[in-house]
Amino acid sequence: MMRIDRSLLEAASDAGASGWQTLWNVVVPLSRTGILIGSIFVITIVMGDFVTIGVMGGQQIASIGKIIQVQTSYLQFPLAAANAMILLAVVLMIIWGLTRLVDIRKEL
Amino acid sequence: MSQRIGEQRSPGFWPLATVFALFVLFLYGPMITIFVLSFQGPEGGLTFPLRGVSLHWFYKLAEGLGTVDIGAAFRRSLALGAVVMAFTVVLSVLAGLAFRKKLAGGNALFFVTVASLIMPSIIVSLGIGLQFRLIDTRHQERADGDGRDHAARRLRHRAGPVQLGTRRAPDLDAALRPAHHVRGVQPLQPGLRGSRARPRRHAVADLPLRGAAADRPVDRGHRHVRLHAVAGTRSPAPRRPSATSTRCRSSCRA
Repeated sequence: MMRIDRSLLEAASDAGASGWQTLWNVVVPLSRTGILIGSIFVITIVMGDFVTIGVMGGQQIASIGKIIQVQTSYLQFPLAAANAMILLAVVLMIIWGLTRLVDIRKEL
Repeated sequence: MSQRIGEQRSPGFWPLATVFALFVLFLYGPMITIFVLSFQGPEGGLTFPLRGVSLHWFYKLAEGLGTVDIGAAFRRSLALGAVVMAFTVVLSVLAGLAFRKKLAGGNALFFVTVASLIMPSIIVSLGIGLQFRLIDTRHQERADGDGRDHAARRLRHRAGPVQLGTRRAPDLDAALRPAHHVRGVQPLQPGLRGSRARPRRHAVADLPLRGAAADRPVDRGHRHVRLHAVAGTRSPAPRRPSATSTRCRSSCRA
């Protein structure tokens, strides 16, 4: 967002855009790449996390990371590995879909 | 932005500022809570407000926890962090240089890097441990025939009850060969090992577990083959805990 040219915002205001219109039509499209990369980070970390969810949910909430951890603690390693593979496939598909929305190389 | 174009703050400033303040509070609130928690008095638990503000727990930390050495733990973590940082910097700079132009396989590299972030770290660390255990086992097997492999021999002798290193098959050839004069023992052909000790084509990796197998120390140095001096019987190969039996035991139990 710091790299957005200030003159673009002035131009939008000159063209008659209100604050919200400037935000929605100028700022957000220009910062799409940053939003996308931040989303990728958040999704990868949260999908595999089980510690925070467990502490906040009183260890009663079964997220996929929690299932993997429980299976690992019961020494069911192939099962845990299979679960991890499914988690990996789903999250990679989500990330692939996100990268289709924005061409990172062109924007940067 | 609003102060350059207009002369005063736009009416949307204060609600947004409130939202931002709440967000910062949400972000740093847990850290502040933990910070406050560390200054509890001796009988304070997870209660608020503080039951006696004191540096009691810091003193307790400084004098040590008995079996745990905080200083050594910190130094270890620091060293680990420094090494990981060095590796990451080197690899990231190289990757950044590589991605300047269109890179063949750049997409695949990106997804592989992201994949290592997705998997929960317990399962990734399991994979790392397993991988190096397999490499070590294969290295040990290749060093079997070469008696001059000093490093492998040193590793074998130093391997303790944590089941590091190789899963050596018991040397039943040497144990059974001079025993042909004992009554009742059928003479084995040289090279024919015990029933359970055939060379493994697939590596069974022992994992560092706090479980049934790790608690039982593997008898490495002396493998006594008990020779039954009864007519016709041959001594069974000594039963050792293997990773497969551990797995069956735990899954059969659960």
